[in-house]
Amino acid sequence: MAPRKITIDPITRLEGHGKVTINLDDKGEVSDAQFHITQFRGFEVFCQGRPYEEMSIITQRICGICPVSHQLASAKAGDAILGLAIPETARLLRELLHMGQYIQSHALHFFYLASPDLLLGWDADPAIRNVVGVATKFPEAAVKGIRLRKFGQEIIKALGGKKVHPAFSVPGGVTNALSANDRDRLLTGFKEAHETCQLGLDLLKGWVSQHMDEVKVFANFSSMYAGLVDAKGRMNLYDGELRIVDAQGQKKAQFAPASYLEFIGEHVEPWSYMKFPFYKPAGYPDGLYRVGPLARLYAADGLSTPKASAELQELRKLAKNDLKGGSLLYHYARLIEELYALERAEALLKDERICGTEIKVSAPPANRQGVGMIEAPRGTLIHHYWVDEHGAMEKANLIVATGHNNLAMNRAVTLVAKEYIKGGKVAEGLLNRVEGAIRCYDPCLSCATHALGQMPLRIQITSSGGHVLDELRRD
Amino acid sequence: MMNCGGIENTIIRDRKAGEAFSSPGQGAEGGLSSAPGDGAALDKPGGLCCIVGFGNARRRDDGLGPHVVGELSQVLGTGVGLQFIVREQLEPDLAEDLREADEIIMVDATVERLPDGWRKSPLKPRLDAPPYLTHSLKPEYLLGLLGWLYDRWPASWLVSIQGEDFGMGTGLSPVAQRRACQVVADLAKSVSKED
Repeated sequence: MAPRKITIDPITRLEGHGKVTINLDDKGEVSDAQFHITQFRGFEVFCQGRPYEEMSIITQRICGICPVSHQLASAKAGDAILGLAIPETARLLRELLHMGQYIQSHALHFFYLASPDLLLGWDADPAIRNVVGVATKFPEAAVKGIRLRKFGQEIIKALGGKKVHPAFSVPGGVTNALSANDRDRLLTGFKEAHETCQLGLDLLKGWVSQHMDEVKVFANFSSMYAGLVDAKGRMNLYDGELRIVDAQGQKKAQFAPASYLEFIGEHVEPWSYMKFPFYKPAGYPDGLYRVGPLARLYAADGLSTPKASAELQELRKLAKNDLKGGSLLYHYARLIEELYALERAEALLKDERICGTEIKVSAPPANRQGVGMIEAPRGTLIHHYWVDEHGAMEKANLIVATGHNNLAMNRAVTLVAKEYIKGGKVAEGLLNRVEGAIRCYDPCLSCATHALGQMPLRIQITSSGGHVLDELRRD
Repeated sequence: MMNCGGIENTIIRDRKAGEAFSSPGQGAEGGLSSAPGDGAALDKPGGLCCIVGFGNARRRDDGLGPHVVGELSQVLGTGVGLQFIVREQLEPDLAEDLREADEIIMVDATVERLPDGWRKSPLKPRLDAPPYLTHSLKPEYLLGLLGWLYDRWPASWLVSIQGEDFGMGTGLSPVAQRRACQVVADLAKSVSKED
């Protein structure tokens, strides 16, 4: 049998557009799979020449889902160029904004994007395997999920004036103080938010316990993990050093953001616009590491909030040995982080410094380059800027969470494809599971290069000569 | 931005208490200082009518929806019975804000060439699988989500206003401004008549 190629295009319920090609060998077995990003954005180039102070406004336009993350990483890169520490109130307010982003983003992902696969089943009719199906079968989860996301968005709006693309974090601090009225109003929302988060955790843990066999084998592979940690080795989503651990949890490296180029390389493949970051000391592609919720929980020694810490202990008891690399555990980790973000946001709002009015410092640029690194909901986000003596952008390097996970997503797709394609025969459910494997990583393809929902799917089986042998469609 | 003026404010002001984490007085999403935040409403016997203006006021005539709703809120005042909502784009969680609506009027700009420059047409919920962006939802799918989540199926309308200039910048083009004034006058009259 001649080598064949299977194409899945587009992938649904992702933030952006992607395509999967599965290459078969002469015997019809999967040789490899490629997750292509077919969009081109070009932000790194058209930022050139702009004042660095504008970057937090420009770069957040990369995405409508995680603009806050880009804004924060950009502002931190700007802080480094200024060479100043920002006021403590500004730091607290930025972290609060960040927690608002986590609350809305993780709620969106679990209740809108992931739950249809988990609660309705991989093989449910695509016409109902979406949020409408969840609303029909699990109305309480669907309604509460909407309200939880709204709560996160309200935090963002209270600080930045609007929910999408807020104007808030700038080099040197933030633009607005938080009023006591807004603080008190937001504090009334946590009881319900915690209840909803617990509902999600209960649903997810119930699903995991009933599908342990699938959790064990589904896109389960050994890899390194990366995430920011604080001085005590605990997960920190806003600041700290990047720690990389191996599959057993042993520390491979830990470094300040400004040193990232010593440890992280970027490889380019001709078939994708998304780059392939890798851990430099291990080379490409052996330097595969994962970022995002599960990676952060594995890289850190622990969490600083009590309820999320207790949930992490449960996850650690479960995720041992043969289960540890399972991609489906990303959903579990994401809900633990949702809980952490709620606890942190409440603690920040109860900090007496949060309504302070010293929120910004100004100075001429002290450095010709600056690196900003944060943990975006999807994983580590790096903004690195080079400026001239007037502060005009000479060059930008952006490494986004979805990019860090590029190698991992390709590995996950290959593993699922191998499970569902034998001897050239494609088993029912391949499409849904390939999408599901990618969705574990909640990729934002707009960040890495925006669409979501029920789109047509196409599998093309093509000979090595480029002839279409067969085509499966889902319109 | 020029306002329409000349329309009599006939409604008694009486602000409705907002929800725990809605944002009364926060200001409009689209940056219109004259427009209310979430939760502005006015006395209107016969149920709650939500008027939603959406679009990006920094892309000139794309801001027609927020502009019209901002003007309407000034003309009609605030209280219980009418709710004015301004958004840059429609997000799924807007369904939560619309769950008590008995009637919904959405106001948006369009590039379509319309004989009268604007049009009010009935809006039906889409009940099929939503091809939505999580941060940018079409009105029909938002209504479908409202129905699926809250079992609410209010009478709904889409007011489309033809824009001319969707370039970078603030302020409406002169032609769009005239159309906005016509729409404000017509909607103010029709909403008041429904009382």
